[in-house]
Amino acid sequence: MVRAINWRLVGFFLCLLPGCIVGFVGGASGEGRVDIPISTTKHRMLSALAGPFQSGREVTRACLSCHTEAAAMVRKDIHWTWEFTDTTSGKVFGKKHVLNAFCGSTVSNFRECTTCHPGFGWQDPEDRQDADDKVDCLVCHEQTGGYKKYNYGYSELRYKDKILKKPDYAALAQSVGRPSRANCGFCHFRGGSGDGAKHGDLDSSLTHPDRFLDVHMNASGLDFGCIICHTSNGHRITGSRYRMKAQDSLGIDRPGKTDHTRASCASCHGNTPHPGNFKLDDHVNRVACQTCHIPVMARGGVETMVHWDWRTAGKKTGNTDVPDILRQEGHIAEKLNFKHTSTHGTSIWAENLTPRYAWFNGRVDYVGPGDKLPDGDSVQLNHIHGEARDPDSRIWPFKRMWAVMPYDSVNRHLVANHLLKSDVDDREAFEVSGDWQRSVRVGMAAAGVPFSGEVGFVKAVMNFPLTHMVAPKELSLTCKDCHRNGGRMDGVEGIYMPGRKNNPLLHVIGRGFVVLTVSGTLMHATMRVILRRRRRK
Amino acid sequence: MIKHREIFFTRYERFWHWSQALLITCLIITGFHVTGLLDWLDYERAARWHRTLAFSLIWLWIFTIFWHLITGEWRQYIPTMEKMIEVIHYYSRGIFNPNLSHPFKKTRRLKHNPLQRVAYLVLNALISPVLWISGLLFVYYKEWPKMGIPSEWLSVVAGIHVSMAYAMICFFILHFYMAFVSDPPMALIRTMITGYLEVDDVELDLDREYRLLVVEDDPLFAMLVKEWFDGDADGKEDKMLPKKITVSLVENLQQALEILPRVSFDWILLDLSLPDSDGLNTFRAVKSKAADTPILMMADRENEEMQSRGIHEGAQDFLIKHNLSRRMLARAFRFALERHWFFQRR
Repeated sequence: MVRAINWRLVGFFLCLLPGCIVGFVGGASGEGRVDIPISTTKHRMLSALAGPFQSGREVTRACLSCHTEAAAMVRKDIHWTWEFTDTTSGKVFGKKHVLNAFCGSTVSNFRECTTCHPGFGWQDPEDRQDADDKVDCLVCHEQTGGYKKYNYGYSELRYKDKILKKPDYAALAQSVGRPSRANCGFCHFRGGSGDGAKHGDLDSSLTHPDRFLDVHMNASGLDFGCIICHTSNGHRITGSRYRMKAQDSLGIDRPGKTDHTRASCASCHGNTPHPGNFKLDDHVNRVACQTCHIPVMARGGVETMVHWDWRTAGKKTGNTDVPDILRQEGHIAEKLNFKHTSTHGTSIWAENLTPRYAWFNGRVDYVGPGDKLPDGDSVQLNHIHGEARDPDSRIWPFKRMWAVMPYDSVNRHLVANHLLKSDVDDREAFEVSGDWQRSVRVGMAAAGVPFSGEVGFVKAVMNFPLTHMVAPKELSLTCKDCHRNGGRMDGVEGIYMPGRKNNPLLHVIGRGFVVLTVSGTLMHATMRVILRRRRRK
Repeated sequence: MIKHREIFFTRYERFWHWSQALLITCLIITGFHVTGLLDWLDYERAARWHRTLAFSLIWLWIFTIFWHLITGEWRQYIPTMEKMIEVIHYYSRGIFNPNLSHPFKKTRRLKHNPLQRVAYLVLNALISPVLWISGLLFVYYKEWPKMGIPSEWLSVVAGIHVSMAYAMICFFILHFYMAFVSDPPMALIRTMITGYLEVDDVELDLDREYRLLVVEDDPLFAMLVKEWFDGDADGKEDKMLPKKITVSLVENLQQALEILPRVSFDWILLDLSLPDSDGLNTFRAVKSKAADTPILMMADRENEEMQSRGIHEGAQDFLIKHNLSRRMLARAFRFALERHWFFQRR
């Protein structure tokens, strides 16, 4: 009888075995990797793309012969216009108008800056570039990895009017597919003067990241491309830094219940993302996911720039002292890498930095070249809005980039400096002349802002909200990183946070009562001992 | 002096007391971590323990409130002014004199002196509930929008919780100190552990004031008893009775049941036939409220069955009203005292 039951059990488990194997193998293959949809078209088989092509514009015309609306769509996107109209203030921001803490402004350095424009030959900032075939499809879609862009966005290397180097357009055109991390990274990894310089959470290490560097983009795991989160509709790419959502209260996106972008953690993870730990979920209405899940920035082995001192530009040697402001309000690392060039001054680079934290509701204001500076010795180039009382604000991690920048010391304006020469004969650019008055005069003329002729230097800071390089959960912040005195949230005010002394007065009063009670009992006890002994005698 | 041991705290009370003491100690330590004053422990661990311990304490209290309701022991915490002045006077002055003893004599039925009653009332009705409510609000912070509480109030709720925690600490210190304010110093601690209290085996003390409750609907008879016994014994030349007796009169059972929980009496003279009750039921009702007080039953005429049943159920005497004289009643009081004292001593 016993034996019969055993056989039945054995049979039962044998039946389960194939299921287990399938389950195990299925689970082992690639952590639920998001597959790029299989295309219905092999572009290399299309006769329109057979070539040969003489220019990038010819390639674009070939693309448009099928994708008829694509160029018109791209020309409406911020990638093309470099303009962004803030709906609340009506002000116009965007690359074309704002200043940054790196080279300053685009309009005064147009030749070099337009290297990152997805068009061909944008020479005049005022030119609206209406021709459809000026859109560069290749920079975002080619998959050979060998494509490059040059000044004014040309795809050919030119000297004056001569073309020195031309890519193999047919090969590029036949390789096209959906944009990969490398396509986006071609510009976004290199902003601000080099790999990793600008953002702190975007650099070339994200081309092939491992799980440690970014749990979603992990090349041997989920392997997300940028476009998995920065979803687009009609070539309008979502998730711009000019107008962010500091919180996505809508939660998980699905058709019919969507904010038309997946560029927020909650779009996939929802607003109760910590099953089995309700206390962590309690943080969601005050703390951005990024705060705990991006514990350190510039983690991929590429340094980011934290300070740029233009005062030493034009000089043979630069500063090697760590600026006080970096210790007080910036980022500090054991190893700060000082770089100096006589044309660009002194910059400080570092990796594995602790972010700075602040309230942020997604709204950012920018100071333009014509805006009057507030009093004080430092200026916020982009002002981060948000405060504890605002229910849409969250505590966010930021990279802070400090600069000592030229400004018009009479009119108290920040200036657009003409740093890089606009053609080989340009003698006014700072990199050639080394003369601030001359280069700023040209830059301000390009920006259309009056210039007094006097150049001073001002401390400027720029805040970059961090949202990439999401660490695996075992590396995220633990409670005690913030919940203690002197923790990461020091300086983030307006909120009660357990674990740090919140109401010092209350503790003084409370301790006073305890001390009174203890001393009262001690006095009583002493009197009892002494007086009772005396009376007994 | 001979002493005897008397059970004072039941097993449950002792379990409750010590587990509560342990929980509160741990809550204070972990709470200081949560509020940022200590950092011996990892914050996460401290916060999690604080939560677990708090829920354990709440469960303990749910059981204990149930226990108090069922046993009627909640009455121990009804505040009273009786002897309050004397007790305060004792702790502030008399305690320094080894020859004076505590003015409040604890009994199983009246365990707490009036000052203790007030202190425990503040603990039970103010400090603990405020701590729980603020603590629970803190834990369920996420539900605030549903309850319509603005989330900025978190600091207020936390502040209230911390203030009450400080009050709890002060209580704890005082309570701890008072545990040793006895002679010998470890006596109270030993009682709280073993449950037994060492009680002095004293002679009947006829010098103190005694209280007599007369439950009688006949005003003439009641006045007569009051006339006989109320006041100082001077001039009455009666060695049999205490020097001073205070007589309280009530007319019916209901009044008797109201006064009994509030005042402790040394005798009860109980007429069995009252407007609102009759026979042995009268006795049983009074006995249920005054288990430790000698009760002398009275009836208009002899009833042997009632007599023996009453004595069997714990009455001290059965008196026939129209036979009574002052001397007889005085003797009955004295004998009742002696018998009661004898049984208590056992």
